[in-house]
Amino acid sequence: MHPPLERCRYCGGPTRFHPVSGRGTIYSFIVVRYAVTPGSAEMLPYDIALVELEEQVGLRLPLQAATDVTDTPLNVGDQVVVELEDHPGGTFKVPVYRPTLSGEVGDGRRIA
Amino acid sequence: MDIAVVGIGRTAYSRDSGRTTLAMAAEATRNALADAGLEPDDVDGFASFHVNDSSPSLRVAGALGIDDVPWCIDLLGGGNMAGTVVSTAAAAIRSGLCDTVVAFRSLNGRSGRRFGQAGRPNETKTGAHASEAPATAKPLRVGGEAQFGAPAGYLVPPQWMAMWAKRHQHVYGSTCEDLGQIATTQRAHAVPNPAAVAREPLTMQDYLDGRWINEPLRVYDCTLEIDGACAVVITSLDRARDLRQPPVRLVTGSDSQAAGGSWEQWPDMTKMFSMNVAPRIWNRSGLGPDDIDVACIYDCFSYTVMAVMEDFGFFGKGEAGAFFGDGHATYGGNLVVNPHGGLLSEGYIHGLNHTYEAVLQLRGHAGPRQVDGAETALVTAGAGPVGGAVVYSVDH
Repeated sequence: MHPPLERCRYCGGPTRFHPVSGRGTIYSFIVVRYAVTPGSAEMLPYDIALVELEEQVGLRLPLQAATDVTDTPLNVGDQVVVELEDHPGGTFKVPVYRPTLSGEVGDGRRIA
Repeated sequence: MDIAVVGIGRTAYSRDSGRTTLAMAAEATRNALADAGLEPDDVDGFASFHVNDSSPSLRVAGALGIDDVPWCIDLLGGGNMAGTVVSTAAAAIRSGLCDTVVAFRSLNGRSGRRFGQAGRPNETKTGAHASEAPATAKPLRVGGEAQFGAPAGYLVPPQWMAMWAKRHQHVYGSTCEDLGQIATTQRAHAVPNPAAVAREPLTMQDYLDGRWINEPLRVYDCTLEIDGACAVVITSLDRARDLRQPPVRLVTGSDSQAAGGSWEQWPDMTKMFSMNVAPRIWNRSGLGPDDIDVACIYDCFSYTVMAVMEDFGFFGKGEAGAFFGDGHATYGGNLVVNPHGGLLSEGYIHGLNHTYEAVLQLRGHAGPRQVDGAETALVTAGAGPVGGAVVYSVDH
């Protein structure tokens, strides 16, 4: 369940934080061309992907790419893994996604 | 009790009103009352919707010299409330709480608070090109669900709707040109509309040359943020028949304010609130897509028109480009979609200007953009998980 609620919205029972694998799929993505947040103007253009975690259909997080893979082209359906990274200019960590590359043939082909 | 819209009024629409929302709301209301042949003393209800960017309805009543307001309500919300405000006024009249209601929306959506810009400073006054203006250096403070999108810089509707449109493109193969067919059709409608803020003709090439906002949405896919106010007067159909204008009957209305308002967790981004609203609207009215002459489809973004019209069954999934491109959504086609130019071209009075246009068309008073023989109109309101719709007809 995301965003978190104090009580389950289906049964009213108590909720708790639960670890997730971080593995997910790109449900959709955009290329931001218009900065609206502090510090983002110099990053333009950049991607924001909506990552659906494998634990639950419809459990989605809007995420930017890990800073070393921001140039990787995206496709809906790509497999990714979510990592934590220092927020640029901030004092806290934020979740980001990293595309999962196919290691089988070593050609950089991504799993679709 | 049957309900009708009997008066419509508005201010000039502009990019920089230089006025308060109270002044504009009062002017639009006086214009709507004059249109109906009513005086302020005839009004006993006021209703509006806003997100703390307007004047409360009791203040507008006060500005009209009404010191005893039997029914007064302010709905918290955006375009998803543009139909609700009329339906709720109708419910209040039916229940006997009041007899005649003014519903209005007033905002300085361009020179004041801009929904598409989060913490970005307002650059309207400087004339700076949006992409050249610096984003604010101040940290943003966001709460609620927005705090989970903020770390990714995912905060504003032009991002959300781009995300939804991209999903549609992936699943159904719809294209940017399909969105362009919607934007260019609506702009053609705005050209002869003196109230519209954007009236320059727009070709597909112009559309494609437009700057990106967030891919896959370009500037012409995004609503035209403007300043202004719009008001409509609602009363019983019996009373309406004694007033100045041909009554426009409210057939039915329905909302779906769904999924806790969550945009990211909505099950299927190729559909919207209208997947729930459309069956209720068609069942209650006994009408279907083929019966609608005028459709004022809430168009905060071109993609909203695509998804909402699919949900209402005007065309199949992925068929919007052909439907608009082949002329089915304009004069001589199946119906006319947003004959005023919509929020994309007339401007963003948060959707209440759609009701204004529907009423004008059903009266037969739309001048050069009149839809021949218009007898039924569908007005939708809202986007994503939240919205509603109202059907209007001429009084037979």
